[in-house]
Amino acid sequence: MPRIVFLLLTILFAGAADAATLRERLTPDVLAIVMPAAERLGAEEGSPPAIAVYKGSEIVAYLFSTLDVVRASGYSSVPFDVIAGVDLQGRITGAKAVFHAEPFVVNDPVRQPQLDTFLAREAGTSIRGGVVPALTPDFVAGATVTARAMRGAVADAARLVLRARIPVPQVSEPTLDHEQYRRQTWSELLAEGAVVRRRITAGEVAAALGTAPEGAPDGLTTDLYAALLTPAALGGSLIGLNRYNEYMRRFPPGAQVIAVASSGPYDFLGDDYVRAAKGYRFNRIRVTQEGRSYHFVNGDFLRLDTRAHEGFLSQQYAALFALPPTFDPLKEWRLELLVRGADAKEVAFPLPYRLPASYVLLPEAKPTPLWIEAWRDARVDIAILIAALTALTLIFVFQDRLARSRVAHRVVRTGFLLFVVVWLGWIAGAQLSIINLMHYVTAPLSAANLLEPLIVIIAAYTLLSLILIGRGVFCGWLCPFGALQELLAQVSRALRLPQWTPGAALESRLRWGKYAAAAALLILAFVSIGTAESAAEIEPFKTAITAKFSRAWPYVLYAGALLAAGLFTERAYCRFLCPLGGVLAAFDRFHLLDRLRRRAECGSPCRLCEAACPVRAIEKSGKIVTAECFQCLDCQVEYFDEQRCPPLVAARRLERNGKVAAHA
Amino acid sequence: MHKVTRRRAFRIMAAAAGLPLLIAGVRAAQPKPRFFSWQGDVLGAASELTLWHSDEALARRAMLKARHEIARCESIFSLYRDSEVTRLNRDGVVRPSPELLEVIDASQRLGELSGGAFDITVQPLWQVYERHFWSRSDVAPDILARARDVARAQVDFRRVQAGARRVELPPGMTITLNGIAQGYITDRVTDLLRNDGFEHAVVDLGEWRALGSHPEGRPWRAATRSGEIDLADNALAVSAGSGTPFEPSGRFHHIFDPATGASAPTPTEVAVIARRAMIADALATAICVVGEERAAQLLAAYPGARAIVTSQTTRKAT
Repeated sequence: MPRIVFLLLTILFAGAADAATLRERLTPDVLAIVMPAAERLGAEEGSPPAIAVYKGSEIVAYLFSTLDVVRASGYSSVPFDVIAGVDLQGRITGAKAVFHAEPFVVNDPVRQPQLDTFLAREAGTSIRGGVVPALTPDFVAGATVTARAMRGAVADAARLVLRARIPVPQVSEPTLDHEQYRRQTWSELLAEGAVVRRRITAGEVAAALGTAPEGAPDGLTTDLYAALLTPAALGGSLIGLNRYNEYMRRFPPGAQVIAVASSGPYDFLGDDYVRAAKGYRFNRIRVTQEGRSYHFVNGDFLRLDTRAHEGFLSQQYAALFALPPTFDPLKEWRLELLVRGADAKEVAFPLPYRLPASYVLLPEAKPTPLWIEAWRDARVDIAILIAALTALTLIFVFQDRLARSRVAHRVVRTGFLLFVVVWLGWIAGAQLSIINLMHYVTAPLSAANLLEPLIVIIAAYTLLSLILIGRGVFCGWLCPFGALQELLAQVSRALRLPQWTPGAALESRLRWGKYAAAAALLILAFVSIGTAESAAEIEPFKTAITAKFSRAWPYVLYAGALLAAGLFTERAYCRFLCPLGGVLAAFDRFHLLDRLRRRAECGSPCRLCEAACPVRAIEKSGKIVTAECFQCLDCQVEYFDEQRCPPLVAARRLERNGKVAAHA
Repeated sequence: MHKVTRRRAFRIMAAAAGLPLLIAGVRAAQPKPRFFSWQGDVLGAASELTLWHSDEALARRAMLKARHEIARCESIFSLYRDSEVTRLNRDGVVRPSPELLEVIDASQRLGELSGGAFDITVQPLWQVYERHFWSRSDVAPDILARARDVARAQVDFRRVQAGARRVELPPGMTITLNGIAQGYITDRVTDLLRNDGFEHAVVDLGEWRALGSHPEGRPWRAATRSGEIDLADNALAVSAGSGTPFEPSGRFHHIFDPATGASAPTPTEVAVIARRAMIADALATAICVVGEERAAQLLAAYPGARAIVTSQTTRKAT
């Protein structure tokens, strides 16, 4: 049921004993809890009532009582009184229940201190909610109506106190800030571009007109200033708030007004504007905006008194001009000073103006979508991952060159797999799983899919590599659990543990296991995604990689058993059980490139690579079954090894024999 | 196959010991697990997620996912913003998401079991009382008669037609899922956390659901008026008419008897412990209406569910 409505209703109730003023209830003990950093307190005032907290001469926070502001209650029908503070950013500074009649807590030696701790913990939390820094877990025990109601009341009261005291007008689109006034000096206005200035010299004018300058070329023709007057903070600072208010009343409501001033021999007024024959038109200035020109006549104009000592009103001439509603003060515009030569040639000297953002009210930013938050949080990890994927791409582009050196291949591959297990898997937790795939196919458009940036990037890379090369790019290089198995297999080989390889017939039967697991899970996902997610525990990924074995022992035992199997039969899990591998292998047949090199002799008579393949993905015929291939490139190392690849050895012998023959 | 020499046997044993050592090492290398927690509003109630884990990044990711799931569920069940429920109430018809259908189906089942004590169509009653008590806290003499008329004409869950393609309400009827949706969302979030590998967590969205036990090995402890209740892999919902009273006497509150339209004379508090929060949530409301005499009959339909009913004078576990 709506808590807000409930709280408002309770305001109407008569009930609790009349309390003393907030100032009286705010004892030093309470103050130390709710606002430890307070330097000086203001008076209790305003509606809803609150006490301002000063640091130096500035207000930094407010103290309030839930009893005064929302009069909320918990179990008891007598409203409780929690005194709390909130800073101007909306963070609670502390909270303390100074009175309550909660039947379950009052006079309870255990619960009362628990409630105190619970409320003290509110310090630092934002009234907008969010991740809470500290936590004392047994405040699940604080999950009483009392604690919950007090926490809610503090947040509600803080919101009301702040809303009444930081009155920012609500707008739905960027809007000119007409109302809010703050005094600014002439140099501040110039510095932030609220007033713009241009000095035009005699030389510039002459050059533009193509005539000789009158007098010295660097002599001043005019020193021109322009500003938008309409925002109170700008106009009031420019010409004084009283004058601003008085003059703004003389223009039609809603009109935009600009202020222009100049010093120097050539003023912006001219004298046509006083002549009926010229239509009372100002012939020396105009405003342009987005291809539209605005000219002014006497009726749009107010002359300003210019006897000030400094600033805008100390120039020789200053005036205000009104613009019609088609003029948009938020967009850039130009004031153009027009100068005519002897042959009536007219040149314009533009003075561009863009209103500084401090005079514009922006609509309250919509809360950032969660997925954007996720990507921003993960930006360092994303950069590392992209670097790693670039490296992997280069490995595949230059795979022939890499495979020519047995040592380089071993170092690069082992290094990459270590990185994948330790950083990608254990540190970044980016283990692509059949669960991700189930979500992608059952709800392809859900924004929830974007909440794990690294997984999204890996999935995209996997899809691309599946289309180009095959399933082995992910399974052999980017799967942390696969990498862990392979590294363990290296250890196992170094220890010369016995290896067991199923016979060809059994092997091909076992391979179906992964397809069966994949099909079962995907069908289940469409029936019940929750059940499918539980069934996906067939993957040991969560246990071994994301949770780093910190799970209940049956899971750890299962993952350990699979790793143990991998010691004796390389990548047993990947080859025979992995549902994700099954899905990828099923789509492998469509890949576009075959970049693993073979010779005519491969398979018949030579079977070196077949034996070298750690996962038995090479058939007797010498053909590589890419659906079972992990792209480890071991066969390519053999292929380029002049000492081992029989056709190469034979060719070399032939060549040497040829040389010998030539000598003879 | 090679002959198993002594050296080879030794190596196999080394490997046999090595793997558990590796696993133990990876486990030990992690930072100490600690609590992570998020607070926010869910369907208008102060809510909190609490996770126990060693990996902060993983916990944060899980909380983001949970928040996303909560926001998605709110766009289905909320009464206070555009949602499937508000659209159904406005238009009288909506094409339901599977989630909406699941919750309505569960509600209807409980409606039947409770002989109409649990009824999602009581929303018009809420509006009658809310309009009345909004402006005045005294009780107009005809309020009960008006509520009774509304209950007769506009309250009957059996008239809600719920199918996979459309859910339809007769004219004038509206529904509220606030007696059950919070529990449902609690379950969704808990399942999500469990599927992400979390083993100790508490999801508190107005109803509580505990995942696993407290990391100290004991159950999670929830304090209610009915006393301390231990939770481990189950859910707790607490209902009391006093939770949202309309006026100070407490005679008018948000738990209505659909038969009369009046607020039900509820016990002080009903705490229901069940495997899932949705069931606990709905049962707690229903038992408030039917009273503790008929509680056992309702509970029998949900294996594992039990209730603690606290009245002004007595406390009774069922």
